[in-house]
Amino acid sequence: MPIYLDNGATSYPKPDEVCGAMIEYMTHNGASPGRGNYARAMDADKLVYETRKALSKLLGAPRPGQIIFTCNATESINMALKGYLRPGDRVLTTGYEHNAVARPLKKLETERGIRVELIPCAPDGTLDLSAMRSLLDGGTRLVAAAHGSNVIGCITPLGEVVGTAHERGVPVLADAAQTAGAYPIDAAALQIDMLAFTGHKGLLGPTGTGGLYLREGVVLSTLKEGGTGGMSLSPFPPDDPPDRYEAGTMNVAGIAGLRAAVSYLMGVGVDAVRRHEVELTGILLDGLDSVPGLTYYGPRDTEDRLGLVSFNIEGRDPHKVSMSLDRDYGIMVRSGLHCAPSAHRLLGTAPVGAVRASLGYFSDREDVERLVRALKEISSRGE
Amino acid sequence: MFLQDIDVIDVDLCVQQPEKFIAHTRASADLSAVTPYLNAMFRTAAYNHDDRSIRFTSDRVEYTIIREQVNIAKFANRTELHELLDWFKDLVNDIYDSRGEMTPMYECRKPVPVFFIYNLLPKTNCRMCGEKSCMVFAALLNKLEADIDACPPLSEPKYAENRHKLEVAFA
Ligand SMILES: Cc1ncc(COP(=O)(O)O)c(C=O)c1O
Ligand code: SF4
Repeated sequence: MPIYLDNGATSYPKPDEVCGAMIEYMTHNGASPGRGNYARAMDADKLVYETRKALSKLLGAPRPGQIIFTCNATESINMALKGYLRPGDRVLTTGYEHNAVARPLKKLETERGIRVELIPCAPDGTLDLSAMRSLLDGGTRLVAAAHGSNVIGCITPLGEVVGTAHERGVPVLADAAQTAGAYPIDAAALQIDMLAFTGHKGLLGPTGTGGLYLREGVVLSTLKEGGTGGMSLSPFPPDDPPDRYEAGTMNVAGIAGLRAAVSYLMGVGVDAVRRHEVELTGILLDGLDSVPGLTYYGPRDTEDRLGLVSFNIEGRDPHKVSMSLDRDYGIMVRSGLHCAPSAHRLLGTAPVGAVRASLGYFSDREDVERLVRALKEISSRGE
Repeated sequence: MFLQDIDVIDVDLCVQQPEKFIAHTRASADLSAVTPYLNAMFRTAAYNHDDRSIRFTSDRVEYTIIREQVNIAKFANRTELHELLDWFKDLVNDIYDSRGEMTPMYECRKPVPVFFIYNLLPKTNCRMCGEKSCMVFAALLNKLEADIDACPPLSEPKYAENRHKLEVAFA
Protein backbone atom coordinates (compact mmCIF):
# COMPACT_ATOMS: atom_id res chain seq x y z
CA MET A 1 0.00 0.00 0.00
CA PRO A 2 1.42 3.38 -0.97
CA ILE A 3 1.64 5.88 1.83
CA TYR A 4 0.44 9.42 1.39
CA LEU A 5 2.36 11.92 3.53
CA ASP A 6 1.67 15.13 1.64
CA ASN A 7 -1.33 16.29 3.65
CA GLY A 8 0.25 19.74 3.94
CA ALA A 9 -0.39 20.14 0.21
CA THR A 10 -3.85 18.61 0.29
CA SER A 11 -5.35 15.97 2.54
CA TYR A 12 -5.93 12.43 1.33
CA PRO A 13 -7.98 10.36 1.63
CA LYS A 14 -11.21 12.26 2.21
CA PRO A 15 -14.02 10.84 4.33
CA ASP A 16 -16.40 8.77 2.13
CA GLU A 17 -19.23 11.15 2.99
CA VAL A 18 -17.49 13.95 1.09
CA CYS A 19 -17.68 12.26 -2.28
CA GLY A 20 -21.17 11.00 -1.45
CA ALA A 21 -22.46 14.50 -0.76
CA MET A 22 -20.98 15.84 -3.99
CA ILE A 23 -22.55 13.09 -6.06
CA GLU A 24 -25.84 13.58 -4.26
CA TYR A 25 -25.89 17.29 -5.11
CA MET A 26 -24.78 16.76 -8.71
CA THR A 27 -27.29 13.96 -9.28
CA HIS A 28 -30.35 15.15 -7.42
CA ASN A 29 -30.14 18.89 -7.09
CA GLY A 30 -27.78 20.66 -9.46
CA ALA A 31 -29.38 24.10 -8.91
CA SER A 32 -27.60 27.41 -8.46
CA PRO A 33 -28.09 28.91 -5.00
CA GLY A 34 -29.04 32.52 -4.30
CA ARG A 35 -30.95 32.93 -7.53
CA GLY A 36 -33.93 30.80 -8.59
CA ASN A 37 -37.24 30.56 -6.76
CA TYR A 38 -38.07 26.92 -7.35
CA ALA A 39 -37.90 24.38 -4.56
CA ARG A 40 -34.60 22.86 -5.66
CA ALA A 41 -32.93 26.28 -5.72
CA MET A 42 -34.22 26.81 -2.18
CA ASP A 43 -32.64 23.48 -1.22
CA ALA A 44 -29.35 24.58 -2.76
CA ASP A 45 -29.56 27.82 -0.72
CA LYS A 46 -30.06 25.77 2.40
CA LEU A 47 -27.14 23.50 1.57
CA VAL A 48 -24.80 26.47 1.17
CA TYR A 49 -26.14 28.05 4.35
CA GLU A 50 -25.72 24.85 6.37
CA THR A 51 -22.10 24.71 5.20
CA ARG A 52 -21.50 28.28 6.33
CA LYS A 53 -23.12 27.45 9.64
CA ALA A 54 -20.98 24.36 10.19
CA LEU A 55 -17.83 26.33 9.32
CA SER A 56 -18.83 29.19 11.59
CA LYS A 57 -19.18 26.71 14.47
CA LEU A 58 -15.89 25.01 13.67
CA LEU A 59 -13.92 28.26 13.39
CA GLY A 60 -15.69 30.22 16.11
CA ALA A 61 -17.38 32.78 13.87
CA PRO A 62 -20.35 34.37 15.66
CA ARG A 63 -22.59 34.26 12.56
CA PRO A 64 -22.72 32.05 9.44
CA GLY A 65 -22.96 35.16 7.25
CA GLN A 66 -19.44 36.11 8.26
CA ILE A 67 -18.05 33.19 6.25
CA ILE A 68 -17.40 34.09 2.61
CA PHE A 69 -16.82 31.25 0.18
CA THR A 70 -13.81 31.36 -2.12
CA CYS A 71 -12.05 28.72 -4.19
CA ASN A 72 -9.08 28.39 -1.81
CA ALA A 73 -6.98 30.18 0.81
CA THR A 74 -5.06 31.96 -1.93
CA GLU A 75 -8.21 33.68 -3.19
CA SER A 76 -9.25 34.51 0.38
CA ILE A 77 -5.89 36.11 1.15
CA ASN A 78 -5.93 38.08 -2.11
CA MET A 79 -9.45 39.25 -1.30
CA ALA A 80 -8.38 40.39 2.16
CA LEU A 81 -5.10 42.08 1.23
CA LYS A 82 -6.27 43.75 -1.97
CA GLY A 83 -9.62 44.69 -0.48
CA TYR A 84 -8.15 46.21 2.65
CA LEU A 85 -4.80 47.83 1.84
CA ARG A 86 -4.61 51.33 0.43
CA PRO A 87 -1.74 53.14 -1.25
CA GLY A 88 1.07 53.87 1.17
CA ASP A 89 -0.14 51.46 3.88
CA ARG A 90 2.39 49.61 5.98
CA VAL A 91 2.00 45.88 6.64
CA LEU A 92 3.76 43.70 9.17
CA THR A 93 4.18 40.06 8.30
CA THR A 94 6.31 37.08 9.26
CA GLY A 95 9.42 35.66 7.67
CA TYR A 96 7.72 32.30 7.02
CA GLU A 97 4.81 33.27 4.81
CA HIS A 98 3.56 31.15 1.95
CA ASN A 99 3.61 32.82 -1.47
CA ALA A 100 -0.17 33.12 -1.11
CA VAL A 101 0.62 36.02 1.25
CA ALA A 102 4.06 37.07 0.02
CA ARG A 103 3.19 37.50 -3.67
CA PRO A 104 0.02 39.60 -3.27
CA LEU A 105 2.01 41.78 -0.86
CA LYS A 106 4.80 42.10 -3.39
CA LYS A 107 2.32 43.10 -6.08
CA LEU A 108 0.75 45.70 -3.77
CA GLU A 109 4.23 46.96 -2.97
CA THR A 110 4.88 47.67 -6.63
CA GLU A 111 1.37 48.79 -7.60
CA ARG A 112 0.06 50.57 -4.52
CA GLY A 113 3.30 51.56 -2.88
CA ILE A 114 2.55 49.68 0.32
CA ARG A 115 5.49 48.94 2.62
CA VAL A 116 6.06 45.46 3.98
CA GLU A 117 8.08 44.78 7.10
CA LEU A 118 8.95 41.52 8.79
CA ILE A 119 8.45 40.70 12.45
CA PRO A 120 11.88 39.40 13.51
CA CYS A 121 11.86 35.70 14.30
CA ALA A 122 14.12 32.80 15.23
CA PRO A 123 14.80 29.96 12.77
CA ASP A 124 12.29 27.78 14.62
CA GLY A 125 9.65 30.40 13.85
CA THR A 126 9.45 31.99 17.31
CA LEU A 127 8.33 35.59 16.77
CA ASP A 128 9.88 38.47 18.65
CA LEU A 129 6.71 40.10 19.93
CA SER A 130 8.42 43.01 21.63
CA ALA A 131 10.13 43.87 18.35
CA MET A 132 6.71 43.56 16.75
CA ARG A 133 5.33 46.05 19.26
CA SER A 134 7.89 48.69 18.34
CA LEU A 135 7.46 48.06 14.61
CA LEU A 136 3.71 48.60 14.99
CA ASP A 137 4.28 52.15 16.12
CA GLY A 138 5.33 53.32 12.70
CA GLY A 139 1.79 53.62 11.36
CA THR A 140 1.14 49.99 10.49
CA ARG A 141 -2.32 49.33 9.05
CA LEU A 142 -2.38 45.52 8.98
CA VAL A 143 -0.62 42.50 10.41
CA ALA A 144 -0.75 39.48 8.07
CA ALA A 145 0.53 36.21 9.50
CA ALA A 146 0.33 32.51 8.77
CA HIS A 147 -1.29 30.70 11.68
CA GLY A 148 1.01 27.79 10.99
CA SER A 149 4.02 27.51 8.72
CA ASN A 150 3.78 24.92 5.96
CA VAL A 151 7.58 24.48 6.06
CA ILE A 152 8.79 25.01 9.62
CA GLY A 153 5.65 23.61 11.17
CA CYS A 154 5.66 26.31 13.85
CA ILE A 155 2.38 27.63 15.19
CA THR A 156 1.97 31.39 15.47
CA PRO A 157 0.63 32.41 18.89
CA LEU A 158 -2.36 34.17 17.35
CA GLY A 159 -3.83 35.32 20.63
CA GLU A 160 -0.64 37.20 21.51
CA VAL A 161 -0.15 38.54 17.99
CA VAL A 162 -3.73 39.83 17.85
CA GLY A 163 -3.46 41.23 21.38
CA THR A 164 -0.25 43.08 20.52
CA ALA A 165 -1.65 44.42 17.23
CA HIS A 166 -4.94 45.48 18.81
CA GLU A 167 -3.10 47.44 21.51
CA ARG A 168 -2.21 49.76 18.63
CA GLY A 169 -5.58 49.39 16.92
CA VAL A 170 -4.10 47.37 14.05
CA PRO A 171 -6.23 44.52 12.63
CA VAL A 172 -4.87 41.05 11.90
CA LEU A 173 -5.29 38.76 8.91
CA ALA A 174 -4.50 35.15 9.78
CA ASP A 175 -3.69 32.60 7.10
CA ALA A 176 -5.14 29.42 8.56
CA ALA A 177 -4.47 27.29 5.47
CA GLN A 178 -2.41 24.82 7.50
CA THR A 179 -4.39 24.95 10.72
CA ALA A 180 -8.13 25.02 9.98
CA GLY A 181 -9.46 21.59 10.89
CA ALA A 182 -6.13 20.39 12.31
CA TYR A 183 -5.70 22.83 15.17
CA PRO A 184 -8.46 24.42 17.28
CA ILE A 185 -9.38 27.95 16.20
CA ASP A 186 -11.85 30.26 17.88
CA ALA A 187 -11.91 33.37 15.71
CA ALA A 188 -14.24 35.31 18.03
CA ALA A 189 -12.35 34.47 21.22
CA LEU A 190 -9.04 35.33 19.56
CA GLN A 191 -10.62 38.50 18.13
CA ILE A 192 -9.13 37.82 14.72
CA ASP A 193 -10.25 40.37 12.16
CA MET A 194 -9.84 38.28 9.02
CA LEU A 195 -9.17 34.57 8.78
CA ALA A 196 -8.40 32.86 5.48
CA PHE A 197 -8.79 29.09 5.19
CA THR A 198 -8.82 26.43 2.54
CA GLY A 199 -11.25 23.54 2.30
CA HIS A 200 -9.01 20.80 0.97
CA LYS A 201 -6.32 20.45 3.66
CA GLY A 202 -7.17 19.99 7.33
CA LEU A 203 -10.87 20.53 6.71
CA LEU A 204 -10.82 17.31 4.63
CA GLY A 205 -13.01 18.79 1.90
CA PRO A 206 -12.61 18.86 -1.88
CA THR A 207 -10.17 21.08 -3.77
CA GLY A 208 -11.67 24.29 -5.10
CA THR A 209 -13.21 25.26 -1.75
CA GLY A 210 -12.11 27.77 0.83
CA GLY A 211 -13.26 30.83 2.64
CA LEU A 212 -12.62 34.05 4.43
CA TYR A 213 -14.03 34.93 7.83
CA LEU A 214 -14.57 38.64 8.41
CA ARG A 215 -15.13 40.08 11.84
CA GLU A 216 -18.33 42.16 12.18
CA GLY A 217 -17.60 45.64 10.87
CA VAL A 218 -14.68 44.72 8.57
CA VAL A 219 -15.62 45.92 5.08
CA LEU A 220 -13.38 45.24 2.08
CA SER A 221 -13.42 46.64 -1.37
CA THR A 222 -14.35 43.79 -3.71
CA LEU A 223 -11.86 41.64 -5.57
CA LYS A 224 -14.36 40.68 -8.25
CA GLU A 225 -17.74 42.03 -9.27
CA GLY A 226 -20.60 40.32 -11.02
CA GLY A 227 -23.95 38.66 -10.49
CA THR A 228 -24.93 38.01 -6.88
CA GLY A 229 -28.50 36.88 -7.45
CA GLY A 230 -30.28 39.94 -6.06
CA MET A 231 -30.34 43.74 -6.40
CA SER A 232 -29.52 43.27 -10.06
CA LEU A 233 -30.59 46.79 -10.98
CA SER A 234 -27.75 48.32 -9.03
CA PRO A 235 -24.55 48.79 -11.00
CA PHE A 236 -22.58 48.16 -7.79
CA PRO A 237 -22.05 45.09 -5.64
CA PRO A 238 -24.37 44.83 -2.60
CA ASP A 239 -23.10 46.23 0.71
CA ASP A 240 -23.82 43.19 2.83
CA PRO A 241 -21.65 40.14 3.27
CA PRO A 242 -21.42 37.43 2.13
CA ASP A 243 -23.06 38.31 -1.23
CA ARG A 244 -20.90 41.39 -1.62
CA TYR A 245 -17.83 39.18 -2.05
CA GLU A 246 -19.32 36.17 -3.79
CA ALA A 247 -20.02 37.34 -7.33
CA GLY A 248 -20.50 34.51 -9.80
CA THR A 249 -21.98 31.05 -9.50
CA MET A 250 -20.34 29.26 -6.62
CA ASN A 251 -18.74 25.83 -6.42
CA VAL A 252 -21.84 24.18 -4.98
CA ALA A 253 -20.63 20.62 -5.55
CA GLY A 254 -17.45 21.49 -3.68
CA ILE A 255 -19.41 23.20 -0.93
CA ALA A 256 -21.64 20.14 -0.58
CA GLY A 257 -18.50 18.06 -0.12
CA LEU A 258 -17.06 20.58 2.33
CA ARG A 259 -20.22 20.44 4.39
CA ALA A 260 -19.94 16.68 4.69
CA ALA A 261 -16.25 17.03 5.55
CA VAL A 262 -16.86 19.59 8.28
CA SER A 263 -19.65 17.57 9.76
CA TYR A 264 -17.35 14.52 9.76
CA LEU A 265 -14.65 16.62 11.48
CA MET A 266 -17.05 17.90 14.09
CA GLY A 267 -18.05 14.32 14.80
CA VAL A 268 -14.42 13.38 15.39
CA GLY A 269 -13.57 16.71 17.04
CA VAL A 270 -10.70 18.98 16.03
CA ASP A 271 -9.13 18.33 19.45
CA ALA A 272 -9.02 14.61 18.72
CA VAL A 273 -7.48 15.26 15.29
CA ARG A 274 -4.88 17.45 16.95
CA ARG A 275 -4.08 14.85 19.62
CA HIS A 276 -3.69 12.20 16.94
CA GLU A 277 -1.31 14.37 14.92
CA VAL A 278 0.69 15.42 18.00
CA GLU A 279 1.17 11.79 18.96
CA LEU A 280 2.24 10.73 15.46
CA THR A 281 4.55 13.74 15.17
CA GLY A 282 6.24 12.64 18.39
CA ILE A 283 6.81 9.18 16.93
CA LEU A 284 8.07 10.74 13.71
CA LEU A 285 10.53 13.10 15.45
CA ASP A 286 11.85 10.27 17.64
CA GLY A 287 12.34 8.19 14.53
CA LEU A 288 14.04 10.99 12.61
CA ASP A 289 16.41 11.50 15.57
CA SER A 290 17.70 8.00 14.88
CA VAL A 291 18.40 8.54 11.16
CA PRO A 292 22.13 9.22 10.65
CA GLY A 293 22.91 12.57 9.03
CA LEU A 294 19.31 13.78 9.15
CA THR A 295 18.41 17.26 10.35
CA TYR A 296 14.82 18.33 10.82
CA TYR A 297 13.60 21.87 11.28
CA GLY A 298 11.21 23.68 13.55
CA PRO A 299 10.31 23.28 17.22
CA ARG A 300 11.19 20.01 18.96
CA ASP A 301 8.20 20.10 21.29
CA THR A 302 5.31 18.45 19.46
CA GLU A 303 2.82 20.72 21.22
CA ASP A 304 4.44 23.69 19.54
CA ARG A 305 4.23 22.38 16.03
CA LEU A 306 1.92 21.08 13.34
CA GLY A 307 1.92 17.54 12.06
CA LEU A 308 4.40 18.29 9.31
CA VAL A 309 8.16 17.98 9.44
CA SER A 310 10.71 19.31 6.94
CA PHE A 311 14.14 17.72 6.94
CA ASN A 312 17.32 17.13 4.96
CA ILE A 313 19.87 14.35 4.91
CA GLU A 314 23.39 15.67 4.90
CA GLY A 315 24.90 15.80 1.43
CA ARG A 316 21.67 14.67 -0.25
CA ASP A 317 19.51 16.50 -2.73
CA PRO A 318 16.05 16.67 -1.15
CA HIS A 319 14.47 16.16 -4.54
CA LYS A 320 16.27 12.85 -4.98
CA VAL A 321 15.36 11.77 -1.47
CA SER A 322 11.68 12.33 -2.18
CA MET A 323 11.96 10.58 -5.55
CA SER A 324 13.52 7.58 -3.91
CA LEU A 325 10.85 7.54 -1.20
CA ASP A 326 8.20 7.41 -3.89
CA ARG A 327 9.84 5.01 -6.36
CA ASP A 328 11.50 2.62 -3.96
CA TYR A 329 9.16 2.74 -0.98
CA GLY A 330 5.81 4.04 -2.23
CA ILE A 331 5.89 6.97 0.16
CA MET A 332 4.60 10.30 -1.13
CA VAL A 333 6.22 13.40 0.34
CA ARG A 334 7.01 16.76 -1.14
CA SER A 335 10.45 18.26 -1.64
CA GLY A 336 11.62 21.71 -2.70
CA LEU A 337 10.56 25.13 -1.48
CA HIS A 338 6.88 24.39 -0.78
CA CYS A 339 5.82 27.76 -2.23
CA ALA A 340 7.37 29.43 0.81
CA PRO A 341 10.89 30.54 -0.13
CA SER A 342 11.18 32.94 2.81
CA ALA A 343 10.64 30.11 5.29
CA HIS A 344 13.48 28.21 3.62
CA ARG A 345 15.66 31.31 3.78
CA LEU A 346 14.96 31.46 7.48
CA LEU A 347 16.00 27.82 7.84
CA GLY A 348 19.03 28.30 5.59
CA THR A 349 17.69 25.66 3.20
CA ALA A 350 17.04 27.93 0.20
CA PRO A 351 17.33 27.53 -2.76
CA VAL A 352 17.21 23.71 -2.84
CA GLY A 353 14.70 23.40 -0.03
CA ALA A 354 13.96 20.31 2.00
CA VAL A 355 11.87 17.16 2.14
CA ARG A 356 8.54 17.57 3.91
CA ALA A 357 6.48 14.77 5.39
CA SER A 358 3.04 15.97 6.41
CA LEU A 359 0.63 13.87 8.42
CA GLY A 360 -3.13 13.89 8.41
CA TYR A 361 -5.99 12.49 10.39
CA PHE A 362 -5.86 9.28 8.37
CA SER A 363 -2.11 8.75 8.82
CA ASP A 364 -1.10 6.10 11.32
CA ARG A 365 1.90 4.81 13.26
CA GLU A 366 2.69 2.25 10.58
CA ASP A 367 3.00 5.03 7.95
CA VAL A 368 5.44 6.91 10.14
CA GLU A 369 7.49 3.85 10.99
CA ARG A 370 7.78 2.90 7.34
CA LEU A 371 8.96 6.38 6.48
CA VAL A 372 11.63 6.28 9.19
CA ARG A 373 12.83 2.82 8.07
CA ALA A 374 13.03 4.03 4.46
CA LEU A 375 14.99 7.12 5.45
CA LYS A 376 17.46 5.01 7.40
CA GLU A 377 18.06 2.88 4.34
CA ILE A 378 18.40 5.87 2.05
CA SER A 379 20.80 7.53 4.46
CA SER A 380 23.01 4.45 4.80
CA ARG A 381 22.96 3.70 1.08
CA GLY A 382 25.03 6.68 0.02
CA GLU A 383 24.23 8.91 -2.97
CA MET B 1 -39.07 19.93 19.50
CA PHE B 2 -42.20 21.97 18.78
CA LEU B 3 -40.95 23.66 15.62
CA GLN B 4 -38.71 21.33 13.63
CA ASP B 5 -38.25 23.19 10.41
CA ILE B 6 -39.14 26.21 8.35
CA ASP B 7 -39.08 25.76 4.59
CA VAL B 8 -38.47 28.71 2.33
CA ILE B 9 -41.09 28.79 -0.42
CA ASP B 10 -39.89 31.80 -2.35
CA VAL B 11 -37.79 34.93 -2.10
CA ASP B 12 -38.73 38.17 -3.80
CA LEU B 13 -37.70 41.80 -3.82
CA CYS B 14 -39.32 43.82 -1.06
CA VAL B 15 -41.86 46.30 -2.42
CA GLN B 16 -41.34 48.81 0.36
CA GLN B 17 -37.56 48.69 0.25
CA PRO B 18 -36.34 47.55 -3.15
CA GLU B 19 -32.79 46.96 -1.92
CA LYS B 20 -34.14 44.36 0.51
CA PHE B 21 -35.91 41.02 0.15
CA ILE B 22 -39.08 39.36 1.37
CA ALA B 23 -39.52 35.60 1.81
CA HIS B 24 -42.56 33.39 2.16
CA THR B 25 -41.85 30.41 4.33
CA ARG B 26 -43.78 27.53 5.86
CA ALA B 27 -43.24 26.29 9.40
CA SER B 28 -43.62 22.61 10.25
CA ALA B 29 -46.05 23.53 13.07
CA ASP B 30 -49.05 25.81 13.54
CA LEU B 31 -47.59 28.83 15.29
CA SER B 32 -50.91 30.04 16.74
CA ALA B 33 -49.79 28.44 19.97
CA VAL B 34 -47.00 30.98 20.39
CA THR B 35 -48.28 34.18 18.75
CA PRO B 36 -49.93 35.52 21.97
CA TYR B 37 -46.56 35.17 23.67
CA LEU B 38 -44.78 36.90 20.80
CA ASN B 39 -47.38 39.64 21.19
CA ALA B 40 -46.42 39.97 24.86
CA MET B 41 -42.73 40.10 23.98
CA PHE B 42 -42.70 42.58 21.11
CA ARG B 43 -43.78 46.10 21.85
CA THR B 44 -44.27 46.74 18.15
CA ALA B 45 -46.50 43.74 17.56
CA ALA B 46 -49.85 44.00 15.79
CA TYR B 47 -51.81 40.97 16.97
CA ASN B 48 -55.21 39.80 15.80
CA HIS B 49 -56.91 37.38 18.13
CA ASP B 50 -59.50 36.27 15.55
CA ASP B 51 -56.97 34.36 13.51
CA ARG B 52 -54.13 34.60 16.05
CA SER B 53 -51.97 36.26 13.43
CA ILE B 54 -49.22 38.65 14.33
CA ARG B 55 -46.86 41.10 12.75
CA PHE B 56 -43.83 42.42 14.56
CA THR B 57 -40.48 44.01 13.84
CA SER B 58 -37.19 42.95 15.35
CA ASP B 59 -33.87 44.46 14.32
CA ARG B 60 -35.56 46.21 11.39
CA VAL B 61 -36.77 42.88 9.99
CA GLU B 62 -40.54 42.38 9.74
CA TYR B 63 -42.22 39.07 10.62
CA THR B 64 -45.81 38.25 9.71
CA ILE B 65 -47.23 35.00 11.02
CA ILE B 66 -50.53 33.27 10.31
CA ARG B 67 -50.60 29.65 11.44
CA GLU B 68 -47.86 27.84 9.47
CA GLN B 69 -47.19 30.78 7.22
CA VAL B 70 -44.27 33.00 8.14
CA ASN B 71 -43.37 35.96 5.96
CA ILE B 72 -40.09 37.68 6.59
CA ALA B 73 -39.39 41.07 5.05
CA LYS B 74 -36.50 43.53 4.77
CA PHE B 75 -33.51 41.22 4.98
CA ALA B 76 -30.37 41.77 2.93
CA ASN B 77 -29.69 38.39 1.33
CA ARG B 78 -30.48 34.69 1.52
CA THR B 79 -27.74 33.99 4.01
CA GLU B 80 -29.27 36.53 6.36
CA LEU B 81 -32.69 34.96 5.73
CA HIS B 82 -31.42 31.61 6.98
CA GLU B 83 -29.75 33.24 9.97
CA LEU B 84 -33.07 34.90 10.79
CA LEU B 85 -34.94 31.62 10.37
CA ASP B 86 -32.53 29.93 12.80
CA TRP B 87 -33.04 32.76 15.27
CA PHE B 88 -36.82 32.66 14.87
CA LYS B 89 -36.98 28.89 15.21
CA ASP B 90 -35.00 29.01 18.47
CA LEU B 91 -37.19 31.84 19.75
CA VAL B 92 -40.40 29.94 18.99
CA ASN B 93 -39.11 26.76 20.61
CA ASP B 94 -37.89 28.66 23.69
CA ILE B 95 -41.28 30.31 24.05
CA TYR B 96 -43.07 27.02 23.59
CA ASP B 97 -40.94 25.30 26.21
CA SER B 98 -41.31 28.08 28.77
CA ARG B 99 -44.89 29.09 28.04
CA GLY B 100 -45.92 27.80 31.49
CA GLU B 101 -43.96 30.62 33.08
CA MET B 102 -44.96 33.30 30.58
CA THR B 103 -48.02 35.46 30.36
CA PRO B 104 -49.63 35.59 26.92
CA MET B 105 -51.29 38.72 25.66
CA TYR B 106 -54.50 38.43 23.67
CA GLU B 107 -55.21 42.08 22.91
CA CYS B 108 -53.61 44.24 20.31
CA ARG B 109 -51.84 47.25 21.77
CA LYS B 110 -53.57 50.47 20.76
CA PRO B 111 -51.19 52.84 19.05
CA VAL B 112 -50.68 56.23 20.69
CA PRO B 113 -52.30 58.75 18.31
CA VAL B 114 -49.88 60.81 16.24
CA PHE B 115 -51.54 64.07 17.18
CA PHE B 116 -51.39 63.30 20.88
CA ILE B 117 -47.64 62.69 20.51
CA TYR B 118 -47.07 65.72 18.32
CA ASN B 119 -48.69 68.00 20.86
CA LEU B 120 -46.25 66.90 23.52
CA LEU B 121 -43.12 67.35 21.39
CA PRO B 122 -41.19 70.69 21.46
CA LYS B 123 -42.48 71.54 17.93
CA THR B 124 -39.32 73.43 17.08
CA ASN B 125 -38.41 71.23 14.10
CA CYS B 126 -34.80 71.46 15.27
CA ARG B 127 -33.94 68.14 13.56
CA MET B 128 -31.73 66.93 16.35
CA CYS B 129 -33.60 63.62 16.21
CA GLY B 130 -32.43 63.21 12.64
CA GLU B 131 -35.94 63.67 11.22
CA LYS B 132 -37.23 66.49 9.05
CA SER B 133 -39.76 67.72 11.58
CA CYS B 134 -41.44 67.01 14.89
CA MET B 135 -44.42 65.68 12.92
CA VAL B 136 -42.30 63.07 11.15
CA PHE B 137 -40.79 62.07 14.49
CA ALA B 138 -44.27 61.80 15.99
CA ALA B 139 -45.33 59.50 13.17
CA LEU B 140 -42.31 57.28 13.79
CA LEU B 141 -43.05 57.16 17.53
CA ASN B 142 -46.60 56.17 16.70
CA LYS B 143 -45.32 53.23 14.65
CA LEU B 144 -42.86 52.46 17.45
CA GLU B 145 -40.04 52.94 15.01
CA ALA B 146 -38.34 55.61 17.11
CA ASP B 147 -37.56 56.16 20.77
CA ILE B 148 -38.46 59.19 22.90
CA ASP B 149 -34.78 59.52 23.85
CA ALA B 150 -33.93 60.36 20.25
CA CYS B 151 -35.35 63.85 20.81
CA PRO B 152 -32.72 65.58 22.99
CA PRO B 153 -34.75 68.76 23.72
CA LEU B 154 -37.37 66.60 25.47
CA SER B 155 -34.84 66.04 28.25
CA GLU B 156 -34.72 69.75 29.05
CA PRO B 157 -36.42 70.61 32.37
CA LYS B 158 -39.15 72.69 30.71
CA TYR B 159 -40.39 69.59 28.85
CA ALA B 160 -40.21 67.29 31.86
CA GLU B 161 -43.99 67.09 32.19
CA ASN B 162 -44.53 66.42 28.48
CA ARG B 163 -41.87 63.77 28.53
CA HIS B 164 -43.51 62.11 31.51
CA LYS B 165 -46.87 62.03 29.69
CA LEU B 166 -45.24 60.43 26.66
CA GLU B 167 -43.51 57.85 28.81
CA VAL B 168 -46.82 56.93 30.41
CA ALA B 169 -48.50 56.71 27.01
CA PHE B 170 -45.83 54.35 25.69
CA ALA B 171 -45.40 52.29 28.86
C1 LIG C 1 0.52 28.50 4.82
C2 LIG C 1 -0.24 28.36 3.54
N1 LIG C 1 -0.92 29.43 3.08
C3 LIG C 1 -1.64 29.35 1.94
C4 LIG C 1 -1.70 28.19 1.20
C5 LIG C 1 -2.50 28.19 -0.04
O1 LIG C 1 -3.60 27.33 0.02
P1 LIG C 1 -4.44 27.06 -1.31
O2 LIG C 1 -3.47 26.45 -2.27
O3 LIG C 1 -5.52 26.14 -0.92
O4 LIG C 1 -4.93 28.37 -1.78
C6 LIG C 1 -1.01 27.05 1.65
C7 LIG C 1 -1.03 25.76 0.94
O5 LIG C 1 -0.59 25.51 -0.10
C8 LIG C 1 -0.27 27.15 2.85
O6 LIG C 1 0.42 26.10 3.30
S1 SF4 D 1 -35.43 66.61 18.06
FE1 SF4 D 1 -37.39 66.80 19.02
S2 SF4 D 1 -37.83 68.96 18.83
FE2 SF4 D 1 -36.19 68.56 17.40
S3 SF4 D 1 -37.25 68.08 15.48
FE3 SF4 D 1 -36.91 66.15 16.48
S4 SF4 D 1 -38.79 65.85 17.59
FE4 SF4 D 1 -38.77 67.98 17.07
